[in-house]
Amino acid sequence: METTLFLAIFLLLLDPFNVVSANFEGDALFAFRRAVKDPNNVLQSWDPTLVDPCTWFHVTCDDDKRVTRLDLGHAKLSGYLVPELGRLQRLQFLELYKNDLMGPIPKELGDLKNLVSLGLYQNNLTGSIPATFSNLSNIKFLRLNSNKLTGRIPRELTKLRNLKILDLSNNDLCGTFPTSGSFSKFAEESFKNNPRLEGPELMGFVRYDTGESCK
Amino acid sequence: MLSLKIRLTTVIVLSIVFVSIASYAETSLDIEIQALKAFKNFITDDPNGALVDWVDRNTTATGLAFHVTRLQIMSSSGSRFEFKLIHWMHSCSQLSLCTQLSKLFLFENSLSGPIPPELGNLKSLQYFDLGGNFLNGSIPDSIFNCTSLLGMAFSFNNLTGIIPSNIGNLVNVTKIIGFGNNLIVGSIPPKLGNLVQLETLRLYGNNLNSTIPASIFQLKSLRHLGLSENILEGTISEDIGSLHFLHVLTLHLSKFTGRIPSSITNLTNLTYLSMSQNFLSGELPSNFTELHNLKAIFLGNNFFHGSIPSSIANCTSLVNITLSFNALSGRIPEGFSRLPNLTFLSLASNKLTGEIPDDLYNCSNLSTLSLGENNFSGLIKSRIRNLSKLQLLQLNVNSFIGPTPPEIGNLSQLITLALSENKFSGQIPPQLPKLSRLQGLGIHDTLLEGTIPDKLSELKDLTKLLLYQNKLVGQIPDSISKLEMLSHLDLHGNKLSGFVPRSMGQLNQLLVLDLSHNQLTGSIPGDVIAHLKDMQINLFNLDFSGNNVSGPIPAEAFSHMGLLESLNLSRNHLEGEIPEILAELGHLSSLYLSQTDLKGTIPEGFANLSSLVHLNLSFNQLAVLLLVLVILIFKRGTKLCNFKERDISVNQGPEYSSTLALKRLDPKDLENATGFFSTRNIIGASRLSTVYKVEMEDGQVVALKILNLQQFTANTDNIFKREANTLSQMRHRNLVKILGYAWESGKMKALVLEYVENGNLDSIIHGKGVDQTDGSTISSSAALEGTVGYIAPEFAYMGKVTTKADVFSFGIIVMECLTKRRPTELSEEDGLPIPLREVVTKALANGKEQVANIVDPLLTWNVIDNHDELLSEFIRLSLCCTLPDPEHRPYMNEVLSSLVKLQTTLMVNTTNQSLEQSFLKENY
Repeated sequence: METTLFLAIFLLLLDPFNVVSANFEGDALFAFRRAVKDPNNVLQSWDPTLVDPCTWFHVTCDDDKRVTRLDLGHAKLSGYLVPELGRLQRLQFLELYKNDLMGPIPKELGDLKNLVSLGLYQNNLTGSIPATFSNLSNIKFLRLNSNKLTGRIPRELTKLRNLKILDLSNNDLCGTFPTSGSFSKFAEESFKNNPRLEGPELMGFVRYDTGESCK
Repeated sequence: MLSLKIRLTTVIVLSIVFVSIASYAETSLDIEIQALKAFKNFITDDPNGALVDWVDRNTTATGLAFHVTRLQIMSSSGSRFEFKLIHWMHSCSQLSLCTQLSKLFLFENSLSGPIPPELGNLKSLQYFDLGGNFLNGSIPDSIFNCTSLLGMAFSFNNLTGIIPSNIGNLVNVTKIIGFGNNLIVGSIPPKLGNLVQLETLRLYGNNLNSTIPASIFQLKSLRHLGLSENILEGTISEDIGSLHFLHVLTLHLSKFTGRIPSSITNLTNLTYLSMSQNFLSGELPSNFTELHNLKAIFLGNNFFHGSIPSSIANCTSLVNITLSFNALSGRIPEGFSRLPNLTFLSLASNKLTGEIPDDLYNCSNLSTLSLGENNFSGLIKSRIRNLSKLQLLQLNVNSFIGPTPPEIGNLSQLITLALSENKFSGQIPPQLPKLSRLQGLGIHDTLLEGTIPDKLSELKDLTKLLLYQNKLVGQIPDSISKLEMLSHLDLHGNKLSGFVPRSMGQLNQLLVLDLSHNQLTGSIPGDVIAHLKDMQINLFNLDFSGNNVSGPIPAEAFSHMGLLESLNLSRNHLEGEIPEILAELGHLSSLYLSQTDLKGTIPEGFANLSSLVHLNLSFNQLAVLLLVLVILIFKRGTKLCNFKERDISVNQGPEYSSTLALKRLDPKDLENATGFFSTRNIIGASRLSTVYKVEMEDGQVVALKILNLQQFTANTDNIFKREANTLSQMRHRNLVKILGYAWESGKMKALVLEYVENGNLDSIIHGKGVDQTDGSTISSSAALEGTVGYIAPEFAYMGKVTTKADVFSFGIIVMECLTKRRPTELSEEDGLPIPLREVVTKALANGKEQVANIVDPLLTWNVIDNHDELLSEFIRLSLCCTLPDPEHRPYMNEVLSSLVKLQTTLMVNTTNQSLEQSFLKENY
């Protein structure tokens, strides 16, 4: 009896994956679909059995059928970001602003080497800003404002040379904010309304961020 | 801190199993403590305090000591255990905890590192599943020592290397071998054929590159055979029909060739069959009647021809039928209404004709009906209202006529409606706004008249609205601004008039706005654009060209549009100067401001626009600073490209983006690139086309094939588009890839092809410069005569095109290769042309000796005695291909199978095996 049941579960759980998955980028996107609630059915066209996700609404592909844009701002999505989004190697625009996304920002998003714009503002994201974002060498627009992000601003982000717009305001970040590298051009406006943020890092002087309570 | 908890019931399903051993929970703490200590040493990350289960403990013979016989670590709600499997294995052996382990389930955790070879020491192991982890390295030979194994799975890891052939040791395996979705290379080991009790074999999603070994067909117990998504090649053997228990067969996305074995219709248990995305050809099996369990059949993206067998309608369990992207012809058979569960029917991109059969309108469970890109005709009947569960209806690129039936408004579940490129007439049906879930509406390139209904704004979810190239009149309704989700709005090429509604500024999701080629008036609605606050990250294509828009370019509108890639305001009546701010649009790759009456100077900042590839400021009253500008740009190393690229996938909506990835190029730019079609750039010419070698601005060298418009008149425009489309689907290492096209009605039809080095076949066969008859200078008349020899007579003289014309050309080229003679060579005696075909026919009739005389000596030297029969057969085959009556010529797939047979014979090196090709004997 036990063995039979066991086998049943074995078969149920073993390789429980979709048999038609030639659609690597589609699978990554579909993982996101599974992680969110979509009351307005904006993701209803996302059929994982298709050869590629290029006919899905809110997805834009290049000529090689590789995903370059994901535009789902203001789409009433709630749920989580998924690490699989980091697999969309040619993604340039990841726009998920003004939704109800919660949980952490997956560190895998730092794998998106071609990303030009990351718009995650006005959600309920928690956790810290992944230090892996320092790998986003093409990023110009990084908007993480109006979430519940905590922790320090990774100093590594100062090496993002193309960064033009940075908005980390209205979060719960702590420590100081870097002022070197590409951060030298950002005014305090980019960091406002982070009550625990202690101000600019003082290069060559006593640093503020010796406090141990910054998490 | 780790929080490891012993829980016996956590997942409802599992709890059923655990109840029977719950009574042991209090009595074996020692073991558990040891075990937990061991775990603490190797688990490096347990973010949410996930759970560990130690279960199934049985007493040993003494009844005193407990041993773990089953270990399962389950991740819960998104958190995964992270550890190196090899470390765990070490702890496990140290504590001798694992000696009696018979079941090891560690799937979907974050295990990393290689598979420890010591796993092979677990002699009691019956099942293990390490799937869904991050394991790497190759599969250790040692694990195939676990001869008590009944099932093993490593699917969804990063394993590399080959499948060791001693997998054949696992003769007791009954349940599963699962290596799917790894990075395994090499061949499918023939030794797998020893595992005669095996029920499930999953090797999909690797880089296996062999054929399917014949021994696989010894696995008579197989229920599930998953070999898809590899680079497997060869044909699919008829022996597959002997796997009677097969339920699931997946062979999609590989490189299989040949036909579908007819024996497949013997697999009466089959529920799931996928062979899509291969190079399969021939006709579909005719008799599907026995496959009454079949639920899903995927045969798309192959080269199947012939008709859709009507017997498919006898497979009454079918839920999904996918035959798209083939060359199927004929009508849709009647009978689909007998399939009560049919929800998905995709026949797109074939050569199907006729009307939609009446009984298809009874398939009331259909959620997807995709008939696009065929040549269907007739009316859409009002009974379409029966298909009330449709979510996707694609009828685009066909020859449907008449009005779009108002009953489409009853299809309340529709998400995508693609009716484009048909001959639909009349108005946009006023019932469309009832489709409250619609996200994509494409009715471009039809004959629609009338206005854009105000009520379209009720389609709250509408994301793409493509109504371009119709005859729509009136104003753009103000209410369009209520379409909050709209990302693509393309209304170009209509007769819309009036102002651009101010309220459109609310459309803050717009990515593409194309209102060009209408009769819009008023000023460029700067405040509209400026109001699109979020457009600074969204909009990348803005096109107002070809209207009657007046007034200045609203500078303020562009101050936040840093990501705009394409701006076209040309052919309007603009005033004033080019605003300096345009120079700050750093992503701009196309800027068209020609014929706009603009004055003043060109902003110096334009020299800094490093992304700019297309710039046209001509026909204005601009001060001549242009030269300076151009020099500046060149100094910066930025090239002004001659190619205007039009990204079809952006502009042509949902039904197109998946199919047509070709770049459209501007004919004028091709003019420049070829040096106004300079003969110096010609690398080939025929009656049908001229081929130029062109270097693109990015350094890529391409072949530009310009079709002779006398041969391809304007009424073949649709055919050209379709052919370009078809060509873009072709992918084979031996086929030249098509990169783009240019088309201007009545003026140009051109294809941009990959340029292939190594010259042409002619110089390879005949050597360069040796023969003067068709030498380096190509006059068009010589080229014309030269090609006649390759063209089938029925095409040359009657313009009748069939696939058999290609068979003819193939046959001629084979003859040319074998004989090293041109098909239009002149006779030495009288200087009259002797068709190559006649020379070959004569030689063949006069026996071996003569054959040897006409064959290229280089070839005959290499041919040993017992092969000249093969050579004759080869020549005979080429003759069959060139039979005057196209009906008598074989199909290309028959030619292929003959060639394969010849090759096999050659390899087997048989002396007296003669070829039995019935069509060869009959026709010759």
